[in-house]
Amino acid sequence: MNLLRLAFKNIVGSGFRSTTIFLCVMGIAGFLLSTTFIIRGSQSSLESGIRRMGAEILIVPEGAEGKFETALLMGRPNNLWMPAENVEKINAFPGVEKVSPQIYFSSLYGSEYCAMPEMFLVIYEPETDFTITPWLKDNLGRSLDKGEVIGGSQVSVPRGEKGLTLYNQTVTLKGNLEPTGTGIDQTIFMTMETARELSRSAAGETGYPLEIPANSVSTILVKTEPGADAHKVTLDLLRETTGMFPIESPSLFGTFRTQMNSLLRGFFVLTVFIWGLATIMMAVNFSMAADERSREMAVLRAVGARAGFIFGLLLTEAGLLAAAGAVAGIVIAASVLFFLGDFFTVTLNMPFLFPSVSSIASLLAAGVSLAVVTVTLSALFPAIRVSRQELAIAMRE
Amino acid sequence: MLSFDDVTRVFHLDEDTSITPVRDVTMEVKQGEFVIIIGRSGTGKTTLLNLAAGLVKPTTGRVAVGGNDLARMTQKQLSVLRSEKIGFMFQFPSLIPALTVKDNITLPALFSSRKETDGIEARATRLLGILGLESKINVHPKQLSAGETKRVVLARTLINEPQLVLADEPTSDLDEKTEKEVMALLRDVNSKGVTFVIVTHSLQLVPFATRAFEMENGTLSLMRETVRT
Repeated sequence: MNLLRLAFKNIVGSGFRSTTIFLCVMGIAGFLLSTTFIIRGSQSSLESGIRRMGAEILIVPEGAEGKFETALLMGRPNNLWMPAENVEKINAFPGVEKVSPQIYFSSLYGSEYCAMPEMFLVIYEPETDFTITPWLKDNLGRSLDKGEVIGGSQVSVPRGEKGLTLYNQTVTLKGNLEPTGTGIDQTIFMTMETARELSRSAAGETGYPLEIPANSVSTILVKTEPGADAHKVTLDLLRETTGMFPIESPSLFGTFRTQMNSLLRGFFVLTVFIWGLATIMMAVNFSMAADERSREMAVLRAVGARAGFIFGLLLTEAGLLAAAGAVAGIVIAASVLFFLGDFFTVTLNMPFLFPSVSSIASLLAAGVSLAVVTVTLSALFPAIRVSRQELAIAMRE
Repeated sequence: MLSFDDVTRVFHLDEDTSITPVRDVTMEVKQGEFVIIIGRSGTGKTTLLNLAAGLVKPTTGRVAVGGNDLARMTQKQLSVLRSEKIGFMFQFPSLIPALTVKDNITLPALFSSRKETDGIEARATRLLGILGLESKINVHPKQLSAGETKRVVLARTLINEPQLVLADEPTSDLDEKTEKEVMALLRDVNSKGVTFVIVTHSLQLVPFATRAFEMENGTLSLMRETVRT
């Protein structure tokens, strides 16, 4: 027998009291973690999406910045067009090193090839591209041929099928990009050659060709020259171009980030409030338990326990309960988010990328530490009171 | 072994009211004695026992165990004294409900400076054997009868081989037969040199005592003394 074992036995022996505190900590830790997961997952998703594009500046049709962000962020279909001649204009702009256009070609609903409700077809230009091409070089060793596509992480070929049949034309999925939690995950990237094949095939199937607007692009991805100030280039573009709107990568999803920050502040206030209430509730619980157990503790003192042992025992019981409750809450929250992440993405209308193992581990450590400290603090005063109680009086009660 | 030297204990209930459960008590208990203190409820018996265990400090006078003044001892020294030299049997059910019989019995060993874990386990089993409770070793207190509970408490009291056992109503709630069994056990332990001070309201225990005192209104008077042969 030792202090830890005695504390554990006391916890098991006090079923109702222990369960109440355990559930309380579990609920709060679970809530705290799940909201932190969603917010962090969302932020991580944004960063991943921006990294994936690999551009410092994005040029979109003027007045369509918000729509573009939504399209990129949540995979909402959009017909975003601007003249293709803009590509050359931007390419010649001071401070710009490379440009590459992309065309939002088509959207498919309820596709069997995508885990999300909508799937998007995007055309990229292999000669200039710096988003998909580096990935292809690293993973495929070559660029895409006609009839080959690359998909986001949510795109897959069903078992038993050879490829993706789009508009009655089968294309080969040559690989999947890493998850970003944004609309990129539900996107298929293809070359103009493949897009034209699909367009023709669609005409054969439906009688109407799938239109690829001539001399139009949806967006232009811009890489600035080494040493150039991307912010200054963006401002210059804003000043000196018309009919298009430059967005600097760090400012991308600005509206969404603002909403996220408001959500984060609201969440923080709510968490502090709930955590405070829970701490008070647990302190009351511990205080009542301390009164109920004052004679039991007096007996321990009478058989030789020091006041410090009683103090340590009560805090250890609180700490063990807090740690167990926090671990359970965090594991449940993480499991729910892991298995229902896509559901939350759709329901909450926000991008979400499940955090990395190291991120989960740090959240777990932080959550458990916070729970242990809070619960132990709530048990502190009852523990001091019981450990210092007048033994003779406690035994008479 | 245990001495009370003109001991008085006053409890202040509020600014104007106080009670004096123990008043001018002087008593010397020698090693190996079996002392019984008789008295009705509220006469100060339990307070006297708490004073002997150092659970309460005297307002005036001196209480000593083995020649050491309890009031001058630190909390650490008192803890060591209570875990190693004194065994305490409480009037109320004092087993820890969350622990099994064996864990309850070995509990005082947790606070003892003597580190002999293996010996404690064996001694607990042996004590339960002597007390006829081998089959109850892994049950919880709520599964025990009143008599069995008293016997388990006795085993816990004796686990650290104390020199002095202080027992508060050790036979209350017991039927006559069990009462006699428990007293016989106490006398058996006493015969090995362990000193006993028992407070009770039961006159039927007096014949077991080497000396019996009566406690009334906080004062102590000798009732009967038996010379053992």
